[in-house]
Amino acid sequence: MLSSFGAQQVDLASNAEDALNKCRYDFYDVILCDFNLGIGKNGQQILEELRIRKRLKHTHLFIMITAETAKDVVLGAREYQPDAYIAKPITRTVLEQRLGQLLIQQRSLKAINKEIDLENYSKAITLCHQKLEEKTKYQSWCMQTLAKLYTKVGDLDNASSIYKAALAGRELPWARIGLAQVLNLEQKHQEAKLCLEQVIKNNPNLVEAYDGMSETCLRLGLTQEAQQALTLASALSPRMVPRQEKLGGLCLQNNDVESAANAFRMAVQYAENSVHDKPEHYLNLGRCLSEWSEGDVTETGKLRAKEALAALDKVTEKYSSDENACLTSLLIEARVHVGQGEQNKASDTLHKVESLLEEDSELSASNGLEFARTLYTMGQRDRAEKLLIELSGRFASEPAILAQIESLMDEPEGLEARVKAKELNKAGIKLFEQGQLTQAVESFRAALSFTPRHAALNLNLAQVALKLYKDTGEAHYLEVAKQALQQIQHIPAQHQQYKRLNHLRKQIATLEASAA
Amino acid sequence: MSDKPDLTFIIASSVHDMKNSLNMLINSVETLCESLPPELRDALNASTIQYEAQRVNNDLIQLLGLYRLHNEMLSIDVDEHHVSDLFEEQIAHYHETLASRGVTLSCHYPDDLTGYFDRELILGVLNNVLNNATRYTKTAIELIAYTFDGGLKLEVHDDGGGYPEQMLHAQPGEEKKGINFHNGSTSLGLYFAAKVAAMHHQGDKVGHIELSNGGRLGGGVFSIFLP
Repeated sequence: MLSSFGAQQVDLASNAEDALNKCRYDFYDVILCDFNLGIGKNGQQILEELRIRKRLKHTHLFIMITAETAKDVVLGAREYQPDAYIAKPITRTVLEQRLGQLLIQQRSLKAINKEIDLENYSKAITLCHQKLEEKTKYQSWCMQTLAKLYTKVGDLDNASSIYKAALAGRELPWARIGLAQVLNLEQKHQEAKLCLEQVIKNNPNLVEAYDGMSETCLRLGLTQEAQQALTLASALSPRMVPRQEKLGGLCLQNNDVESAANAFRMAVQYAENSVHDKPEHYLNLGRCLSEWSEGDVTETGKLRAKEALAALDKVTEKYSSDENACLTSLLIEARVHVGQGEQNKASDTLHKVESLLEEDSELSASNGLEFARTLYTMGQRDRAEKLLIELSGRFASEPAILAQIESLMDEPEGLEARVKAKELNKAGIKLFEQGQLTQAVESFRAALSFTPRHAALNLNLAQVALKLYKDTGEAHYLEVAKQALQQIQHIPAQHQQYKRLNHLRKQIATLEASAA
Repeated sequence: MSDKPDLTFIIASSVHDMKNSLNMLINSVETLCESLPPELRDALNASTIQYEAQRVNNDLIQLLGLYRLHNEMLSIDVDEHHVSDLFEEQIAHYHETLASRGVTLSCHYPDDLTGYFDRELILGVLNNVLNNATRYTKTAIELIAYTFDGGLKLEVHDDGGGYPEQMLHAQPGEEKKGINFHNGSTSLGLYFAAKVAAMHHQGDKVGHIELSNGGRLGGGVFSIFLP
């Protein structure tokens, strides 16, 4: 059929793998792809992989053929922007006519797309302007492309005026979303949020708008709202694995293990066969479920632990050549066992880990942290701290890793304890600010009953106790401060609170000297 | 989960199944016809098979659309589209069937006329209206498009007997714009068309459909306004 339309070379692929292989060696001007390809990858996953592997240029056409009109499928496939959809049944005449339209468009815009492929954005901008002057059928395409290019090169004024001009005519979601993006780049996040709220109100199915909203909320520090927006986007289009991953991370940031587990479950499910398939999804799911089931030996707790172990087993089975991932999997597995009170199984797993580690091999930062966490959970605090101190020396120049080391060292306890400690700490600070010092001391002490080695928390307690000592002269307050500092003797010099610790140490020494 | 099965869901999945089978059938018939010599093709009355299959297919698509609409699962993707693309696709679709019935199909619209709408949904609506017009017209169908009230108006005129009187006037308390959906075989299609039209809005203007008789060819006139 295609040859009769004038196509010179037509290749057929009978399945996804074959199709991707063919695209590995050749660029095709036009790809016609059915969504439903039976077993293995589907059409969306092919498009996704071609986009990510850069095997599809702007000058090429990818046409999705589909009998599917289910919303999750349509919205999912739309996110990777095929050049067109053709709904089944396809008759010869319809295909010929539609393909004809698309090829004419493609030819007309080829010069612009070529420059975009070459990342010659300023050239592409000039060509867009020329095209607009020709007054072709593709004015709207040129405007949208031009605005995106201006945003890309950082010419926000021009981008913004294109969007505003378009919006003066009528309410257009693409222009409103584009404008929000520009506003975010201009650090006007509040205005961007208003834009996106308007888009979502009028177009509750527009996935992009929720993504933008989530991003904007994050910039505004509204992590709960950001999670909410991303949850809605994922519900509409669950097949986008990177979004599920991001959502999982965001949930964890919000201490919402349950939602995080759900997001990682989806990531695992939809990454199957896709370019996004990787052990991290299973490991993240294992981590969440481990945390969620910790200390819960009811039926549901057991089920979650079981699900965690299944996810972790999958790592050692499916990615057996990835030594790092397998090691991580075992480290998490040990924690799941501890959480279920199975100390013996945990020790066995830890032995496996130790036999895998060679004598002088250095752990990666992430596995080092994972290892330390497991050691804490197993009650081997000294060993965990020793490992963390070694890591903080080794990664002294990497602030992101140091921050993770610190927070683990401060709070090796489970999520519930961390949340409670955080609340009590906040209450303590408030009481302190209100001048209610003795109540503040009580609040910090209560917090420390959950996370006894938390550096900032101990320092808060010491600071308030010292103030009380100075105000009242009661000697036991000095003792409280000294004990608090004693609790955090272990923190390394790279720790953010280290200076504060030294400062308070000196203060105590001065006070003791003057008392003597 | 309750024990009671969700009947609408069951119907929707069956419809989905039927649609897929029908697609296979339509494709097989097309391939079969292509391999036949023309005289055999005519004897088979291939265009009738295709027309009726397409009709069933349209109905099924609309049933699914209505199910999704009902469950708020129908998504709408409004963008600027060229009327020429829209009409050309319809002509490609119906050219053969109409030619075999001796019906001419023509289009009238200003060059470069564009509108804002969901391409697939509006294609579905037009497809259905044309399918109907094909059944009832005598010699000609015209597709008309023009700018109207800041939006786009699409019309389908035919020279058939026109819409029956009871379809043109609503019973009290019925759907807007004077269409009675409860009579006649086209009710489902028109109901869907009305819903799709209403999904298109701009400012305080909402899309709608209208039926009338007379028009350019003296038969039925279907029109849809997309703000």
